[in-house]
Amino acid sequence: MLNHKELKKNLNWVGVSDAINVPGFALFSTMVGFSTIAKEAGFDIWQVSATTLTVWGMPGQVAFAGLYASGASLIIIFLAVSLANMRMMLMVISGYNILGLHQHTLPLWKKICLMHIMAITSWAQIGRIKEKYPPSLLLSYYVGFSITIYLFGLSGTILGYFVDHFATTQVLRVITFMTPLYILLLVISSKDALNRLAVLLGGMIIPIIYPVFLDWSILIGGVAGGTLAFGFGVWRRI
Amino acid sequence: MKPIIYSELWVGVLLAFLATLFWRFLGLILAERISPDGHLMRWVNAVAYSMVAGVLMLILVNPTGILSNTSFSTRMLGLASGILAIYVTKNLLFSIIIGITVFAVLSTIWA
Repeated sequence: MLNHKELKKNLNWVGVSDAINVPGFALFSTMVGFSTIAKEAGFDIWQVSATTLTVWGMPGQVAFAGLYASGASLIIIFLAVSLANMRMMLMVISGYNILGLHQHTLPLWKKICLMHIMAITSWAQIGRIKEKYPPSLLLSYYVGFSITIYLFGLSGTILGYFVDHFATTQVLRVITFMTPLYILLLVISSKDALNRLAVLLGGMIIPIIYPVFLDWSILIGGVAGGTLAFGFGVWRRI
Repeated sequence: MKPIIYSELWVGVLLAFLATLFWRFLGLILAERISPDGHLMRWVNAVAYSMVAGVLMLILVNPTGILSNTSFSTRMLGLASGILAIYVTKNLLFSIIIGITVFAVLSTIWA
């Protein structure tokens, strides 16, 4: 019989090994994609790496590099990155709840670190497996999983900076397509019917209103899609 | 004038970091005040899922960079075949492979 400490350590490794699979590869390829865009925009290798490590949220990073390339002012860049990564707040609230951090007595800086390494991938992953482990063990799993994909992301960023030397456009394209596909399939197969409905609505509303609201469409469409799904869920008691 | 542009980009990195950290920190503060089983948490979850799906759909509908050289229908058929596969098989890895294969084949044929 394993004691609790050994169990936690084991769960660290379960998280690591689950991450060295599709999730790690997806983060790796996402950051390859970001790095190629940033290189075109004029970033050096230190700047792409620093952006990945400090921002750690692909849509915001891509918005940053894309806008910088177009010569946008720093204020516009700040606003666009804020809007692109606003979902972090909701993911953190939701993730904090899934991990049961209320029950853990952790210092604030540790909590900030835990939330800093949260990516869409790790958030969706703990949402998917939350019934399998009690919160105390789920946190160990999350730490192993998240640090692993963080390292995959950094590796992808560095490799992506040089990838144009040795990969064809067609290979890069397929790699870049994999990340949105993977995460969309992950969230559309959520066990909670209300969340599946929210995915469907947000996934349709946001691209449709994008030509009108541009960067604001994520906020407007996200709140609209989520609220409609929530309202339907309360009404039909799903 | 190179050094000025160089340092402006570093200011940009700092701003991008702060713009993201702010939301994470705000999320942390709010999370401690929201009841885990209440309606508010379900709403937050629904909006989070909705936003995540929308952000990723934007990448597929209005791509920047390398995906912008592919046609809209190629990307949508790749996604649709992946969604169909996950509804039939419930297997994530298999469905990703199906979606990627459809995308790879179509983007080669229609290039």
